[in-house]
Amino acid sequence: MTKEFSFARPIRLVRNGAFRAGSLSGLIKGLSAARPEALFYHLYRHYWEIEQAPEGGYNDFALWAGERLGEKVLAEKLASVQLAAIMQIEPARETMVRYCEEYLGGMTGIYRVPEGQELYFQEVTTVAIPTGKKAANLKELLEIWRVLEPASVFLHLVEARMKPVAGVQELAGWLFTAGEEELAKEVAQVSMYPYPLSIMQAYIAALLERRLGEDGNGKPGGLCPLSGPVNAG
Amino acid sequence: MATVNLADYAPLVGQSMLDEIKALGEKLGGASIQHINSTAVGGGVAEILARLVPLMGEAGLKSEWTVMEGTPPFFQVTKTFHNAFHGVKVDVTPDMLETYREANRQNYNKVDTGANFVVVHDQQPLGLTEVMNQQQKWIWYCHIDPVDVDHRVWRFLGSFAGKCHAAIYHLPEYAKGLGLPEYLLPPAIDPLSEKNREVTAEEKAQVLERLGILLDKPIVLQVSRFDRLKDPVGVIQAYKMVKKITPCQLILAGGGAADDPEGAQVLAEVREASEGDPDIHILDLPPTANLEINVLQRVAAVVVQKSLREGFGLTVTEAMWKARPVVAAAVGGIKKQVLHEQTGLLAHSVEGAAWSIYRILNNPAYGEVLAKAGREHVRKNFILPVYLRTWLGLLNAMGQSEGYSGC
Repeated sequence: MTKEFSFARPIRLVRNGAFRAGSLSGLIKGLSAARPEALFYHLYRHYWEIEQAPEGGYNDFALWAGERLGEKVLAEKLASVQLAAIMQIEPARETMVRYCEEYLGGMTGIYRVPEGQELYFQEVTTVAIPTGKKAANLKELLEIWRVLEPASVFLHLVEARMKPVAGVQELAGWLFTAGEEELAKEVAQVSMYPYPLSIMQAYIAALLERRLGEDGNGKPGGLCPLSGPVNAG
Repeated sequence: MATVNLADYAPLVGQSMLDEIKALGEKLGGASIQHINSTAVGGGVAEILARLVPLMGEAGLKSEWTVMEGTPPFFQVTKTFHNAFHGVKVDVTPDMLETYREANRQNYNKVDTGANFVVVHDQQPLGLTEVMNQQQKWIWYCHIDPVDVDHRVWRFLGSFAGKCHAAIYHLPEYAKGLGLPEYLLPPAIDPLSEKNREVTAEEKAQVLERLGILLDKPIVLQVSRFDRLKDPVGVIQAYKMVKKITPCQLILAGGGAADDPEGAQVLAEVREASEGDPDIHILDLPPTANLEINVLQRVAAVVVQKSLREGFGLTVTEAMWKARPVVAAAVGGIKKQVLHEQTGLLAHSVEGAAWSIYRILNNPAYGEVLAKAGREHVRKNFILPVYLRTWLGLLNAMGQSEGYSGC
């Protein structure tokens, strides 16, 4: 019998990440050497702080390159990193470093931001607290999922997929173990940018509804179109 | 004042957060924690500890708060160190260092050597790290901006801070690179405290009458102790620019914390700068004037915090919680609270502050939009239950990293 799916809520502890970038070369150094926890923080923090990516789907590196360095083209490239490395830290790191190095190669001089405008690398550690809510089957999962807090949606759908979080089950993994291979595959293909967490939550609910055939004909439940936030890969 | 329990916060944060707090407390298995600072009243740290410590106890910890004792020369030294943290050029003599060490030695017996966690707040009690034992976890909580600290002062104090197992700062740029886990945890206000609770119309009227404040002109308010780093004279200059074209009155409300000997001198400078203007009210309030501050913040048309340096700026948090529009300097932790044009307005100069005050006074509807967003920003991030939950998460993480039994 499949183990129940236990829902949790995250508490995020933010730590100093040891790097500070004041120029493009500093950014490359930081991107190359920072711990994965730091890249995760700067790529995804908006999802738990404002429950969606900022306007344009920019991550912290892209925002800083655009607003502080004034390098709009580089900012666009860094924002697009999700296309090259969807929900994977190390490929994202390699891609961003490559973008920055290529960009640096075409520059005639290095601009250094004024004091106080540097990018301070930070890291995040997640402590998960069980909510006490558990699902033994898809129907129970759907009932809880529909009213789940956004912080928990991100935790189970995204964060647990990217890195182990003690005591937290990953949604796609659990579905796979429960014998729902096709559904698990669809959930695993969900892409984050540029959708708010509420859309992600509704989309997963729609997938579950379809599987459960709640509308009587096996079609999606109508919460959102199934051509929604899916990664083609 | 009535005792406040965790359950009283449910309408503000929801029962689920309170359940999490209880669960985190239980995971700590009755661990004990001692907070140590240098003043029982006045200043943000004392205010936080007065509320945090009992709630930690309710969450299941054995929680205690100890105030170290010091002589006037010790507090003069620590005030000099405080200024040195803010980049003020100071003279540091061997006698001063010895005064600091001796005052801390006199307080060694106040350290609870049986406590699992000991938290030293700010720089005054850092010398107590000399008596830590290996069974304990010590945390240094730096509540001020240490970026430009005088290197001689930091060499001295940093040697104590480096002995701790973790440090906490309000902002990433404050981290000193001590070679130990450095957490980022901004402080919080208690929405149910006397300073932040809802007030009745009767209480409001009584306080205003007692303070001699009329509501005949819009109020521009700054609440802070009389400290040069809060730039009260700059606030007067900004107010005077605004007053030329828009009727308003200015209230500077504050006092001197028990560990701040410079307060009286700054107050005199402020009185001098305000001479001849009957619409400037300078209120030297005692640290216990919480209801008075509460009422003043609620009747203000604009709340200003024009600090030159700021650790976090809890007076800004208080004003935002009361849904008042804020104009604040873009320094320190204020930048985390006041998101420009979203939750308030940021200013970088006297002129910028004046222009922002003018904008709000002449467009109250815009001020209300900022104020509403500001209150929600504070509710989500900077109120006591959220702070307590993060604290407990941090203690759990520290316990786990060393296999602390009960975690």
